[in-house]
Amino acid sequence: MLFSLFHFLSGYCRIVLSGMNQERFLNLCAAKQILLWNIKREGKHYIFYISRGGYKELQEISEKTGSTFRCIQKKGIPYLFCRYKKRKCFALALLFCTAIFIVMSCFIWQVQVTGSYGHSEEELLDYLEKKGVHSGTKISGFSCARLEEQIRKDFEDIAWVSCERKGTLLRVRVKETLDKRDQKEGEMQESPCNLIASKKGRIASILVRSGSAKVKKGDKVKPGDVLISGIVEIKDDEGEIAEETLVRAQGDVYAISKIKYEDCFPLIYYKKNYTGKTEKSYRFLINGYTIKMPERKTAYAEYDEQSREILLHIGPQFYLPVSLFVITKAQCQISKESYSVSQAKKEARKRLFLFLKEYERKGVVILKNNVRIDSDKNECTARGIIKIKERVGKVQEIPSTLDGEKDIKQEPAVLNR
Amino acid sequence: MLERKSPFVCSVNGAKEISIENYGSLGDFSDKKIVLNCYKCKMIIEGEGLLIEYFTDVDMKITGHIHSIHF
Repeated sequence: MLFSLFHFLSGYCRIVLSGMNQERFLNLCAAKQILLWNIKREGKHYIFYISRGGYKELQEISEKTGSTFRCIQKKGIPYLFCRYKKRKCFALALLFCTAIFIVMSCFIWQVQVTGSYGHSEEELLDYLEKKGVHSGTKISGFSCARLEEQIRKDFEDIAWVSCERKGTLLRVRVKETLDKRDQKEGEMQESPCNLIASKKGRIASILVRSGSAKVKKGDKVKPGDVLISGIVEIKDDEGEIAEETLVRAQGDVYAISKIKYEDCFPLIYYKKNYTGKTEKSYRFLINGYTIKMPERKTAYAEYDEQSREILLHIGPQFYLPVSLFVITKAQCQISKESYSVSQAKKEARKRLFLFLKEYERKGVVILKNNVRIDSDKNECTARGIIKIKERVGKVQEIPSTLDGEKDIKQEPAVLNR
Repeated sequence: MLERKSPFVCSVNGAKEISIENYGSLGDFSDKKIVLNCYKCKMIIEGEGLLIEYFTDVDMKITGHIHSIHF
Protein backbone atom coordinates (compact mmCIF):
# COMPACT_ATOMS: atom_id res chain seq x y z
CA MET A 1 0.00 0.00 0.00
CA LEU A 2 2.80 2.38 0.95
CA PHE A 3 4.62 1.33 -2.21
CA SER A 4 1.56 2.26 -4.32
CA LEU A 5 1.09 5.54 -2.48
CA PHE A 6 4.72 6.49 -2.92
CA HIS A 7 4.64 5.80 -6.64
CA PHE A 8 1.37 7.66 -7.05
CA LEU A 9 2.86 10.71 -5.37
CA SER A 10 6.04 10.61 -7.44
CA GLY A 11 4.40 9.52 -10.72
CA TYR A 12 4.88 6.34 -12.81
CA CYS A 13 4.38 5.06 -16.36
CA ARG A 14 3.32 1.85 -18.05
CA ILE A 15 5.71 0.88 -20.83
CA VAL A 16 5.39 -1.58 -23.71
CA LEU A 17 8.77 -2.92 -24.81
CA SER A 18 9.22 -4.46 -28.21
CA GLY A 19 11.96 -5.07 -30.74
CA MET A 20 15.31 -6.76 -30.26
CA ASN A 21 17.25 -7.68 -27.12
CA GLN A 22 14.39 -7.06 -24.78
CA GLU A 23 15.94 -9.09 -21.95
CA ARG A 24 19.17 -7.11 -22.35
CA PHE A 25 17.11 -3.94 -22.06
CA LEU A 26 15.64 -5.17 -18.78
CA ASN A 27 19.05 -6.18 -17.48
CA LEU A 28 20.49 -2.78 -18.33
CA CYS A 29 17.60 -1.11 -16.45
CA ALA A 30 18.42 -3.24 -13.43
CA ALA A 31 22.14 -2.44 -13.73
CA LYS A 32 21.33 1.31 -13.77
CA GLN A 33 19.27 0.71 -10.58
CA ILE A 34 16.01 1.59 -12.29
CA LEU A 35 13.18 -0.16 -10.49
CA LEU A 36 10.74 -2.03 -12.71
CA TRP A 37 7.66 -3.81 -11.42
CA ASN A 38 4.76 -5.95 -12.59
CA ILE A 39 6.69 -7.16 -15.61
CA LYS A 40 4.74 -9.57 -17.78
CA ARG A 41 5.07 -11.01 -21.21
CA GLU A 42 2.28 -10.49 -23.70
CA GLY A 43 3.01 -12.08 -27.05
CA LYS A 44 6.23 -10.58 -28.31
CA HIS A 45 6.21 -7.61 -25.97
CA TYR A 46 7.05 -6.92 -22.38
CA ILE A 47 4.79 -4.67 -20.37
CA PHE A 48 6.01 -3.19 -17.14
CA TYR A 49 5.76 -0.18 -14.82
CA ILE A 50 8.56 2.26 -14.24
CA SER A 51 8.96 5.38 -12.14
CA ARG A 52 8.89 8.85 -13.70
CA GLY A 53 12.58 9.32 -12.99
CA GLY A 54 13.50 5.97 -14.53
CA TYR A 55 11.45 6.68 -17.66
CA LYS A 56 13.75 9.54 -18.53
CA GLU A 57 16.70 7.18 -18.80
CA LEU A 58 15.04 4.60 -21.03
CA GLN A 59 15.93 6.38 -24.26
CA GLU A 60 19.63 5.83 -23.72
CA ILE A 61 19.13 2.15 -22.93
CA SER A 62 16.86 1.73 -25.92
CA GLU A 63 19.53 3.16 -28.22
CA LYS A 64 22.07 0.74 -26.76
CA THR A 65 19.97 -2.40 -27.13
CA GLY A 66 18.06 -1.51 -30.27
CA SER A 67 14.69 -2.20 -28.68
CA THR A 68 11.78 0.19 -28.81
CA PHE A 69 9.52 1.28 -26.01
CA ARG A 70 6.26 3.13 -25.86
CA CYS A 71 4.51 4.72 -22.89
CA ILE A 72 0.87 3.68 -22.81
CA GLN A 73 -0.16 5.14 -19.48
CA LYS A 74 1.05 7.91 -17.18
CA LYS A 75 -0.24 8.06 -13.64
CA GLY A 76 0.48 10.04 -10.51
CA ILE A 77 0.33 13.53 -9.02
CA PRO A 78 2.94 15.17 -11.31
CA TYR A 79 1.06 14.06 -14.43
CA LEU A 80 -2.24 15.12 -12.88
CA PHE A 81 -0.92 18.64 -12.33
CA CYS A 82 0.39 18.76 -15.88
CA ARG A 83 -2.97 17.69 -17.25
CA TYR A 84 -4.90 20.31 -15.27
CA LYS A 85 -2.35 23.11 -15.18
CA LYS A 86 -4.53 25.23 -17.45
CA ARG A 87 -7.50 24.86 -15.14
CA LYS A 88 -6.41 27.49 -12.66
CA CYS A 89 -9.93 28.31 -11.55
CA PHE A 90 -10.47 24.70 -10.54
CA ALA A 91 -7.32 24.73 -8.45
CA LEU A 92 -8.27 28.05 -6.87
CA ALA A 93 -11.78 26.82 -6.10
CA LEU A 94 -10.32 23.70 -4.50
CA LEU A 95 -7.99 25.79 -2.37
CA PHE A 96 -10.84 28.12 -1.45
CA CYS A 97 -13.07 25.22 -0.39
CA THR A 98 -10.26 23.74 1.67
CA ALA A 99 -9.72 27.09 3.36
CA ILE A 100 -13.46 27.42 4.05
CA PHE A 101 -13.57 23.96 5.63
CA ILE A 102 -10.57 24.72 7.79
CA VAL A 103 -12.12 28.00 8.96
CA MET A 104 -15.51 26.37 9.61
CA SER A 105 -13.97 23.63 11.67
CA CYS A 106 -13.00 26.33 14.20
CA PHE A 107 -16.63 26.91 15.16
CA ILE A 108 -19.39 24.91 16.83
CA TRP A 109 -22.26 24.39 14.41
CA GLN A 110 -24.43 21.86 16.23
CA VAL A 111 -25.35 21.60 19.91
CA GLN A 112 -27.09 18.45 21.13
CA VAL A 113 -28.61 18.02 24.59
CA THR A 114 -29.58 14.56 25.79
CA GLY A 115 -30.67 12.91 29.01
CA SER A 116 -32.91 15.67 30.33
CA TYR A 117 -36.47 14.91 31.40
CA GLY A 118 -37.30 17.60 33.92
CA HIS A 119 -35.98 20.37 31.70
CA SER A 120 -36.89 20.54 28.05
CA GLU A 121 -34.19 20.53 25.39
CA GLU A 122 -35.20 24.07 24.35
CA GLU A 123 -34.79 25.28 27.93
CA LEU A 124 -31.26 23.94 28.14
CA LEU A 125 -30.38 25.25 24.70
CA ASP A 126 -31.65 28.71 25.70
CA TYR A 127 -29.54 28.51 28.85
CA LEU A 128 -26.46 27.57 26.81
CA GLU A 129 -27.15 30.45 24.44
CA LYS A 130 -27.24 32.87 27.37
CA LYS A 131 -23.85 31.50 28.42
CA GLY A 132 -22.53 32.19 24.94
CA VAL A 133 -22.58 28.61 23.63
CA HIS A 134 -24.64 28.23 20.46
CA SER A 135 -24.32 27.50 16.77
CA GLY A 136 -21.53 29.73 15.49
CA THR A 137 -19.54 29.95 18.72
CA LYS A 138 -15.80 29.81 18.32
CA ILE A 139 -14.34 26.64 19.74
CA SER A 140 -11.54 28.52 21.44
CA GLY A 141 -14.10 30.84 23.05
CA PHE A 142 -15.43 28.41 25.62
CA SER A 143 -14.24 25.60 27.81
CA CYS A 144 -16.12 22.34 28.29
CA ALA A 145 -14.98 21.99 31.90
CA ARG A 146 -16.16 25.50 32.82
CA LEU A 147 -19.49 24.92 31.09
CA GLU A 148 -20.02 21.69 33.04
CA GLU A 149 -19.33 23.54 36.28
CA GLN A 150 -21.78 26.32 35.42
CA ILE A 151 -24.56 23.89 34.56
CA ARG A 152 -24.06 21.96 37.78
CA LYS A 153 -24.16 25.21 39.74
CA ASP A 154 -27.24 26.67 38.05
CA PHE A 155 -29.36 23.51 37.92
CA GLU A 156 -29.77 21.93 41.33
CA ASP A 157 -31.57 18.90 40.00
CA ILE A 158 -28.83 17.95 37.56
CA ALA A 159 -26.53 15.50 39.30
CA TRP A 160 -24.11 14.80 36.48
CA VAL A 161 -23.26 16.65 33.30
CA SER A 162 -20.78 15.94 30.52
CA CYS A 163 -19.84 18.37 27.74
CA GLU A 164 -17.99 16.76 24.87
CA ARG A 165 -16.85 18.45 21.71
CA LYS A 166 -16.21 16.32 18.63
CA GLY A 167 -15.50 18.16 15.43
CA THR A 168 -18.09 20.90 15.15
CA LEU A 169 -20.59 19.04 17.34
CA LEU A 170 -21.01 19.85 21.02
CA ARG A 171 -22.80 17.09 22.93
CA VAL A 172 -24.17 17.89 26.38
CA ARG A 173 -25.34 14.90 28.37
CA VAL A 174 -27.10 15.36 31.69
CA LYS A 175 -28.34 13.06 34.38
CA GLU A 176 -30.96 14.42 36.75
CA THR A 177 -31.49 13.67 40.41
CA LEU A 178 -35.01 13.02 41.68
CA ASP A 179 -37.03 16.21 41.24
CA LYS A 180 -38.59 18.01 44.19
CA ARG A 181 -42.01 16.45 43.60
CA ASP A 182 -40.52 12.97 43.67
CA GLN A 183 -38.47 13.93 46.70
CA LYS A 184 -41.65 15.09 48.44
CA GLU A 185 -43.39 11.88 47.51
CA GLY A 186 -40.44 9.99 48.80
CA GLU A 187 -40.71 11.83 52.08
CA MET A 188 -44.46 11.20 52.16
CA GLN A 189 -43.86 7.52 51.71
CA GLU A 190 -42.27 7.53 55.10
CA SER A 191 -44.72 9.87 56.82
CA PRO A 192 -48.20 8.83 58.06
CA CYS A 193 -51.07 9.50 55.72
CA ASN A 194 -54.70 8.72 54.95
CA LEU A 195 -56.10 7.30 51.75
CA ILE A 196 -58.92 9.52 50.53
CA ALA A 197 -61.35 9.22 47.64
CA SER A 198 -60.23 10.96 44.48
CA LYS A 199 -63.70 10.87 42.90
CA LYS A 200 -67.33 10.14 43.53
CA GLY A 201 -68.54 6.54 43.45
CA ARG A 202 -69.84 3.48 45.25
CA ILE A 203 -67.31 1.20 46.91
CA ALA A 204 -67.03 -2.10 45.06
CA SER A 205 -64.20 -3.64 47.07
CA ILE A 206 -61.72 -2.60 49.73
CA LEU A 207 -58.52 -4.36 50.74
CA VAL A 208 -56.60 -2.80 53.60
CA ARG A 209 -52.91 -3.48 54.00
CA SER A 210 -52.19 -0.83 56.55
CA GLY A 211 -54.43 1.54 58.52
CA SER A 212 -58.10 1.21 59.41
CA ALA A 213 -60.95 1.06 56.92
CA LYS A 214 -63.51 3.81 57.22
CA VAL A 215 -65.82 2.59 54.43
CA LYS A 216 -67.17 -0.77 53.39
CA LYS A 217 -68.52 -2.33 50.22
CA GLY A 218 -71.61 -0.54 49.01
CA ASP A 219 -70.88 2.81 50.67
CA LYS A 220 -71.20 5.93 48.59
CA VAL A 221 -68.21 8.25 48.71
CA LYS A 222 -67.46 11.67 47.38
CA PRO A 223 -64.09 13.30 46.67
CA GLY A 224 -62.15 13.92 49.87
CA ASP A 225 -63.83 11.20 51.97
CA VAL A 226 -61.40 9.13 54.00
CA LEU A 227 -61.36 5.55 52.77
CA ILE A 228 -58.50 4.15 54.86
CA SER A 229 -57.38 6.12 57.87
CA GLY A 230 -53.79 6.33 58.96
CA ILE A 231 -54.88 6.71 62.59
CA VAL A 232 -55.16 3.29 64.17
CA GLU A 233 -57.04 3.26 67.47
CA ILE A 234 -55.99 0.78 70.09
CA LYS A 235 -58.85 0.16 72.57
CA ASP A 236 -58.54 -1.09 76.10
CA ASP A 237 -60.64 -3.81 77.80
CA GLU A 238 -63.46 -1.39 78.42
CA GLY A 239 -63.67 -0.46 74.79
CA GLU A 240 -62.25 3.01 75.19
CA ILE A 241 -59.50 4.36 73.06
CA ALA A 242 -56.27 3.91 74.95
CA GLU A 243 -53.83 4.80 72.27
CA GLU A 244 -53.73 6.05 68.73
CA THR A 245 -51.00 5.07 66.33
CA LEU A 246 -50.15 6.89 63.12
CA VAL A 247 -49.37 4.69 60.14
CA ARG A 248 -49.12 5.13 56.41
CA ALA A 249 -52.53 3.96 55.09
CA GLN A 250 -52.17 1.44 52.28
CA GLY A 251 -54.70 -0.58 50.41
CA ASP A 252 -56.65 -1.18 47.21
CA VAL A 253 -60.02 0.51 47.02
CA TYR A 254 -62.17 0.08 43.95
CA ALA A 255 -65.31 2.08 43.32
CA ILE A 256 -68.02 2.00 40.71
CA SER A 257 -68.70 5.32 39.10
CA LYS A 258 -70.42 6.67 36.05
CA ILE A 259 -69.00 8.79 33.32
CA LYS A 260 -71.03 10.80 30.90
CA TYR A 261 -70.09 10.26 27.28
CA GLU A 262 -71.14 12.67 24.56
CA ASP A 263 -69.92 12.87 21.01
CA CYS A 264 -71.30 14.66 18.00
CA PHE A 265 -70.02 15.03 14.44
CA PRO A 266 -71.55 16.22 11.15
CA LEU A 267 -72.48 13.74 8.46
CA ILE A 268 -70.83 15.81 5.78
CA TYR A 269 -67.06 15.51 5.73
CA TYR A 270 -64.21 16.24 3.37
CA LYS A 271 -62.13 13.37 2.11
CA LYS A 272 -58.70 13.68 0.62
CA ASN A 273 -57.86 11.35 -2.26
CA TYR A 274 -54.19 11.33 -3.03
CA THR A 275 -53.36 10.98 -6.69
CA GLY A 276 -49.83 9.76 -5.99
CA LYS A 277 -48.19 12.69 -7.74
CA THR A 278 -45.70 14.68 -5.75
CA GLU A 279 -43.53 17.70 -6.28
CA LYS A 280 -40.40 18.51 -4.36
CA SER A 281 -38.78 21.81 -3.71
CA TYR A 282 -35.69 22.67 -1.74
CA ARG A 283 -34.56 25.38 0.57
CA PHE A 284 -31.31 25.97 2.38
CA LEU A 285 -31.13 27.39 5.84
CA ILE A 286 -27.71 28.92 6.49
CA ASN A 287 -27.31 30.13 10.05
CA GLY A 288 -30.86 31.46 10.23
CA TYR A 289 -31.10 32.77 6.65
CA THR A 290 -33.33 30.94 4.19
CA ILE A 291 -32.29 30.56 0.58
CA LYS A 292 -35.01 29.33 -1.75
CA MET A 293 -33.96 27.31 -4.73
CA PRO A 294 -35.68 28.30 -7.98
CA GLU A 295 -38.80 26.26 -8.47
CA ARG A 296 -41.75 26.09 -10.75
CA LYS A 297 -45.07 27.38 -9.52
CA THR A 298 -47.07 24.41 -8.39
CA ALA A 299 -49.68 23.15 -10.83
CA TYR A 300 -51.70 21.46 -8.12
CA ALA A 301 -54.91 23.11 -7.03
CA GLU A 302 -55.04 21.12 -3.81
CA TYR A 303 -52.14 19.51 -2.08
CA ASP A 304 -50.66 18.50 1.26
CA GLU A 305 -47.31 19.97 2.11
CA GLN A 306 -44.73 18.26 4.25
CA SER A 307 -41.27 19.53 5.01
CA ARG A 308 -38.29 17.64 6.32
CA GLU A 309 -35.08 19.13 7.66
CA ILE A 310 -31.76 17.47 6.92
CA LEU A 311 -28.74 18.75 8.82
CA LEU A 312 -25.75 18.63 6.51
CA HIS A 313 -22.62 17.10 7.91
CA ILE A 314 -19.46 15.40 6.70
CA GLY A 315 -18.99 12.26 8.71
CA PRO A 316 -20.57 11.88 12.15
CA GLN A 317 -18.93 14.93 13.75
CA PHE A 318 -18.25 17.65 11.20
CA TYR A 319 -21.56 19.50 11.15
CA LEU A 320 -22.04 22.42 8.82
CA PRO A 321 -24.16 25.50 9.57
CA VAL A 322 -26.38 24.52 6.66
CA SER A 323 -29.70 22.66 6.73
CA LEU A 324 -31.53 21.40 3.72
CA PHE A 325 -35.32 21.56 3.77
CA VAL A 326 -37.06 19.16 1.43
CA ILE A 327 -40.63 20.28 0.87
CA THR A 328 -42.87 17.62 -0.61
CA LYS A 329 -46.23 18.59 -2.07
CA ALA A 330 -48.57 15.64 -2.51
CA GLN A 331 -51.43 16.33 -4.85
CA CYS A 332 -54.85 15.44 -3.50
CA GLN A 333 -58.43 15.88 -4.51
CA ILE A 334 -60.76 16.98 -1.79
CA SER A 335 -64.22 15.64 -2.23
CA LYS A 336 -67.25 16.39 -0.18
CA GLU A 337 -68.72 13.18 1.10
CA SER A 338 -71.55 12.28 3.33
CA TYR A 339 -71.90 9.42 5.77
CA SER A 340 -74.91 7.21 5.31
CA VAL A 341 -76.85 6.40 8.49
CA SER A 342 -75.10 3.07 8.93
CA GLN A 343 -71.68 4.56 8.14
CA ALA A 344 -72.24 7.36 10.65
CA LYS A 345 -73.20 4.89 13.36
CA LYS A 346 -70.16 2.80 12.54
CA GLU A 347 -67.95 5.86 12.85
CA ALA A 348 -69.58 6.81 16.16
CA ARG A 349 -69.01 3.26 17.46
CA LYS A 350 -65.36 3.47 16.37
CA ARG A 351 -64.88 6.73 18.27
CA LEU A 352 -66.55 5.25 21.36
CA PHE A 353 -64.31 2.21 21.13
CA LEU A 354 -61.19 4.40 21.07
CA PHE A 355 -62.49 6.37 24.04
CA LEU A 356 -63.09 3.21 26.07
CA LYS A 357 -59.76 1.71 25.02
CA GLU A 358 -57.99 4.71 26.49
CA TYR A 359 -59.73 4.14 29.83
CA GLU A 360 -58.96 0.43 29.78
CA ARG A 361 -55.33 1.21 29.18
CA LYS A 362 -55.33 3.05 32.50
CA GLY A 363 -56.64 -0.03 34.29
CA VAL A 364 -60.33 0.87 34.37
CA VAL A 365 -62.89 -1.93 33.95
CA ILE A 366 -65.92 -1.09 31.82
CA LEU A 367 -68.98 -2.61 33.47
CA LYS A 368 -71.82 -1.28 31.38
CA ASN A 369 -72.10 0.78 28.27
CA ASN A 370 -75.39 2.60 27.87
CA VAL A 371 -74.37 4.87 25.03
CA ARG A 372 -77.04 5.47 22.44
CA ILE A 373 -76.13 6.47 18.91
CA ASP A 374 -78.62 8.56 16.94
CA SER A 375 -78.28 9.95 13.48
CA ASP A 376 -80.38 12.51 11.63
CA LYS A 377 -79.94 14.38 8.33
CA ASN A 378 -77.16 16.66 9.52
CA GLU A 379 -75.27 15.03 12.34
CA CYS A 380 -74.72 11.93 14.35
CA THR A 381 -74.70 12.02 18.15
CA ALA A 382 -73.64 9.46 20.69
CA ARG A 383 -74.76 10.04 24.25
CA GLY A 384 -74.95 7.92 27.31
CA ILE A 385 -73.62 6.81 30.64
CA ILE A 386 -70.78 4.36 31.02
CA LYS A 387 -70.43 2.48 34.26
CA ILE A 388 -66.83 1.84 35.23
CA LYS A 389 -64.93 0.26 38.05
CA GLU A 390 -61.68 1.89 38.88
CA ARG A 391 -59.21 2.35 41.62
CA VAL A 392 -59.94 5.40 43.71
CA GLY A 393 -57.75 6.63 46.48
CA LYS A 394 -55.09 9.16 46.79
CA VAL A 395 -52.66 9.87 49.58
CA GLN A 396 -53.34 12.66 52.03
CA GLU A 397 -50.73 13.54 54.57
CA ILE A 398 -51.90 13.57 58.17
CA PRO A 399 -50.97 16.97 59.61
CA SER A 400 -48.84 16.68 62.76
CA THR A 401 -50.91 17.39 65.91
CA LEU A 402 -49.77 20.06 68.31
CA ASP A 403 -51.79 18.87 71.37
CA GLY A 404 -50.02 16.61 73.83
CA GLU A 405 -53.23 15.16 75.29
CA LYS A 406 -53.23 12.05 73.24
CA ASP A 407 -50.18 9.92 73.13
CA ILE A 408 -49.89 9.51 69.39
CA LYS A 409 -47.14 7.17 68.33
CA GLN A 410 -45.75 6.90 64.88
CA GLU A 411 -44.99 3.36 63.90
CA PRO A 412 -44.05 1.57 60.71
CA ALA A 413 -47.07 0.41 58.66
CA VAL A 414 -48.74 -2.75 59.91
CA LEU A 415 -51.55 -4.79 58.44
CA ASN A 416 -54.78 -3.98 60.22
CA ARG A 417 -57.11 -6.94 60.30
CA MET B 1 25.36 -5.25 -1.64
CA LEU B 2 26.08 -8.90 -2.50
CA GLU B 3 28.89 -9.67 -4.98
CA ARG B 4 27.89 -10.89 -8.42
CA LYS B 5 30.38 -13.72 -8.19
CA SER B 6 28.74 -15.19 -5.16
CA PRO B 7 25.90 -17.68 -5.37
CA PHE B 8 22.35 -16.49 -5.50
CA VAL B 9 19.96 -16.73 -2.54
CA CYS B 10 16.53 -18.05 -3.34
CA SER B 11 13.44 -18.01 -1.04
CA VAL B 12 10.35 -19.90 -2.05
CA ASN B 13 6.99 -19.13 -0.35
CA GLY B 14 4.69 -22.01 -1.19
CA ALA B 15 4.30 -22.61 -4.88
CA LYS B 16 3.26 -19.07 -5.69
CA GLU B 17 6.16 -16.84 -4.85
CA ILE B 18 9.90 -16.91 -5.24
CA SER B 19 12.39 -14.22 -4.26
CA ILE B 20 15.90 -14.33 -5.66
CA GLU B 21 18.83 -12.22 -4.56
CA ASN B 22 22.02 -11.85 -6.54
CA TYR B 23 20.48 -13.55 -9.56
CA GLY B 24 22.86 -12.26 -12.22
CA SER B 25 20.83 -11.39 -15.28
CA LEU B 26 17.56 -12.23 -16.98
CA GLY B 27 17.94 -14.75 -19.76
CA ASP B 28 14.51 -15.46 -21.07
CA PHE B 29 11.10 -14.53 -19.82
CA SER B 30 7.67 -15.71 -20.77
CA ASP B 31 4.56 -16.40 -18.74
CA LYS B 32 5.43 -20.12 -18.66
CA LYS B 33 9.20 -20.07 -18.28
CA ILE B 34 11.81 -17.74 -16.78
CA VAL B 35 15.52 -18.35 -17.28
CA LEU B 36 17.98 -16.60 -15.01
CA ASN B 37 21.71 -16.57 -15.65
CA CYS B 38 23.20 -16.97 -12.21
CA TYR B 39 26.82 -17.40 -11.13
CA LYS B 40 28.09 -20.69 -12.55
CA CYS B 41 24.60 -22.00 -13.31
CA LYS B 42 21.29 -21.32 -14.97
CA MET B 43 18.08 -21.27 -13.05
CA ILE B 44 14.91 -22.26 -14.90
CA ILE B 45 11.55 -21.58 -13.34
CA GLU B 46 8.56 -23.14 -15.02
CA GLY B 47 4.95 -22.55 -14.26
CA GLU B 48 1.84 -20.68 -15.35
CA GLY B 49 0.98 -16.99 -15.25
CA LEU B 50 4.48 -16.03 -14.22
CA LEU B 51 4.98 -12.37 -13.47
CA ILE B 52 8.00 -10.45 -12.20
CA GLU B 53 6.62 -8.42 -9.32
CA TYR B 54 9.72 -6.29 -9.01
CA PHE B 55 13.10 -6.32 -10.72
CA THR B 56 16.12 -4.47 -9.41
CA ASP B 57 19.83 -4.96 -9.76
CA VAL B 58 20.00 -6.76 -6.43
CA ASP B 59 16.89 -8.89 -6.21
CA MET B 60 13.70 -9.84 -7.93
CA LYS B 61 10.42 -11.49 -7.07
CA ILE B 62 8.49 -13.84 -9.27
CA THR B 63 4.85 -14.69 -8.64
CA GLY B 64 2.43 -17.08 -10.29
CA HIS B 65 1.84 -20.85 -10.29
CA ILE B 66 5.29 -22.36 -10.01
CA HIS B 67 5.53 -25.94 -11.22
CA SER B 68 9.26 -26.55 -11.09
CA ILE B 69 12.61 -24.95 -10.43
CA HIS B 70 15.69 -26.59 -11.86
CA PHE B 71 19.27 -25.77 -12.45
